[in-house]
Amino acid sequence: MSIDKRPVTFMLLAVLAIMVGTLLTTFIPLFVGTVVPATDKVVPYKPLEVEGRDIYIREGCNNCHSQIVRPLPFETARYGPPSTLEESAIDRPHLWGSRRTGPDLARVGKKYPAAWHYLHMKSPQSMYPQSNMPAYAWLADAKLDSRDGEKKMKVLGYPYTSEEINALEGKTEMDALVAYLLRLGKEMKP
Amino acid sequence: MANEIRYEYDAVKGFALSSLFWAIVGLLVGVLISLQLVYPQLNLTSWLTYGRLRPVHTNALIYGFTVPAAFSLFFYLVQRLGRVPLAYPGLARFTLYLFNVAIVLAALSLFAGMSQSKEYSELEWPLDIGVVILWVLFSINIIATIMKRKEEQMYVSLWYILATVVGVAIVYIGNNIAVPVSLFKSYSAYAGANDANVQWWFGHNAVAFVFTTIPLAIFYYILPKSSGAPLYSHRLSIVGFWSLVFAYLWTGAHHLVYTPLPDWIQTVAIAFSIFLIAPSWASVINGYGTLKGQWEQMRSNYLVKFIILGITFYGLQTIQGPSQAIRAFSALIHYTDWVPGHVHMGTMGWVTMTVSAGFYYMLPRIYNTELYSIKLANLHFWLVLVGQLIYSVTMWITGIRQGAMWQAVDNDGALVYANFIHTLTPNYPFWNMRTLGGVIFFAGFLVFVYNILKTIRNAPAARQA
Amino acid sequence: MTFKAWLYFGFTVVLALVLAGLMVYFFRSKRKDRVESPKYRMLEDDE
Repeated sequence: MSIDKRPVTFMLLAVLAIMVGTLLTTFIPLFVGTVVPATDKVVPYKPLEVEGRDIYIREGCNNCHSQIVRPLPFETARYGPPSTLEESAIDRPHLWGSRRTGPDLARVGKKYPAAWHYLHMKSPQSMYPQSNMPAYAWLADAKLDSRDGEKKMKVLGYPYTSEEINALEGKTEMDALVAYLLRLGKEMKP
Repeated sequence: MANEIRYEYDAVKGFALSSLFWAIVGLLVGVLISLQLVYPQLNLTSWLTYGRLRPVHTNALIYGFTVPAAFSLFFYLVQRLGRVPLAYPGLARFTLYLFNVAIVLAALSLFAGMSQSKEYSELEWPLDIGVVILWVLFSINIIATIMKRKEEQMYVSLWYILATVVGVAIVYIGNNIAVPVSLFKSYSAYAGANDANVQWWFGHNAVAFVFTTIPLAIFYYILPKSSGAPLYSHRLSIVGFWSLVFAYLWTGAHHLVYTPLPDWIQTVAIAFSIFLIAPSWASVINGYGTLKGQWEQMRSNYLVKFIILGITFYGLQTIQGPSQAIRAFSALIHYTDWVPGHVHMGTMGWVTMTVSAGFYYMLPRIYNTELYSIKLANLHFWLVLVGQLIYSVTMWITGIRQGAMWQAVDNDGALVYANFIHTLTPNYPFWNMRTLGGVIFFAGFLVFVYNILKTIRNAPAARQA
Repeated sequence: MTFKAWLYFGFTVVLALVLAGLMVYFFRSKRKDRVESPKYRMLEDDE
């Protein structure tokens, strides 16, 4: 039995070795209840929030901000209650992030009003002189391109009304982003 | 008998030069984003902001430097270890052409903000399909050449090549299953915690099958060939190989410690991360053992010190990684600078040192000439080593310090540094040190590229190698 | 111990046995030459 003389057998064994860990830790949990939380308690995204989330992704905000509060005393003291499975249950893709150059944003929607976000996004340095966050003033001048607005809601499977879709007209990218930021922390139905 | 086998080196040369070019692009972006973290005014326009450039940096160095370097060196290795010419040279040339087109489109798409947001897998779905096609074309050549090899028993480098071929395919496809909305936008097929779990199953196994098995395949070939000493123990590498390939797939969730992902997945990931020390150090022991009684070559043979430092950084990397996966330590350093410090010891230390050794060994041979300057090679070595150490050490310092500041509570339990910005600003002087480390590393890399280009220019006119 | 704990324990034991089997199989002295030989042949090259 010398597999080092049979490349095809060798590759099949390598695939087998790879699939064991893959199935048990990643594939099976896709269907097992522990990692598939109930989504009925989660407030679906509105069309404007979906557009805002896409801008958050486009600008790569997750490269500096995480959206996950760990169940550790110093984290809950700083950011609020620990994140739960349900809170990100309908997020496609997830935005938990892996770096905190800036603070965690999982509950920022409850911390600041819209006006704060508009000013801060326009010029972070005006509020925190030493902040290293780029200024996103240009988002306020960019008209929101909502041609795919309805299709996005269909693909994501979120309920929507045509009024909400039509309301996207005339909004700026800043409006959408702030709408998304205001939702962070308010995912669960009361 | 020497030239009886007509080896095919066109694609080998093409991919080597492509990888050096895109490495420079990736390193330049790295220096820029390092500066941007301290001087936000350097976020000049929308498509040059940190948020869009960081994925350009990671993708340019993973898919623009490491992958084509692997294509180049693997096309060389399968021919030399099999004693047969490349199966489909025409296909290899086409793969080279398609690769450079795809990498340009990838860079432009990231500048434009087209991103799936998943780290090291940001490319949007049309480019994902391009990457898969490229990988299939590469794999056809690798497998076909191995199938018609003359040397029946496969040496360990070929195992790691085969593991790379199947491993990257499985994890890349698995993580990029997405539902398109338009040509430029798609949503992940998975949601929330599952999406995070699949992402980091991919994330850590991109590390396994790009940043580990590729340099290991190069290391196991170049060390014996350049030192003339046979590998310490081929049997040890067998056990190391199979336990590495098996164990790596369990470890993705150590990126998600203390998240809502179920505890059993986290614990299994931590346990296997610690287990992984053994198979990783099988290669480190093989490296040191091979040089038993030959350590004088560290001085006399310029190439050997690249490989030995590379495998040493691999040894350090595979001890530091498991230690930071443990919950107690992860609570302190997760989300801090410690992690990029760890990442860059692996990439700047292990991967680039070993790939450089591969090119130093291979390129003079396939161009039928001598290396232009060993002095420059030594300069490259010291610049890269010093640059890397400055980079990682400063990141570990700021990582621990900021992690501790986030945790600091006074005696009645209130946060000492409640305002986040107060934990951020002390990083700036260290981040300037990091930029210095990056610039020194980049200078070393430029010396390396200059040395290689001069070597190629001095090569005798296109005589069949 | 709960059933799940036994499952974990059993799985760990199986893994350990497989690893031990691999090592014994490849490190047995009579197989040494065959398994070690590639490292010498890769050095002889038509350099």
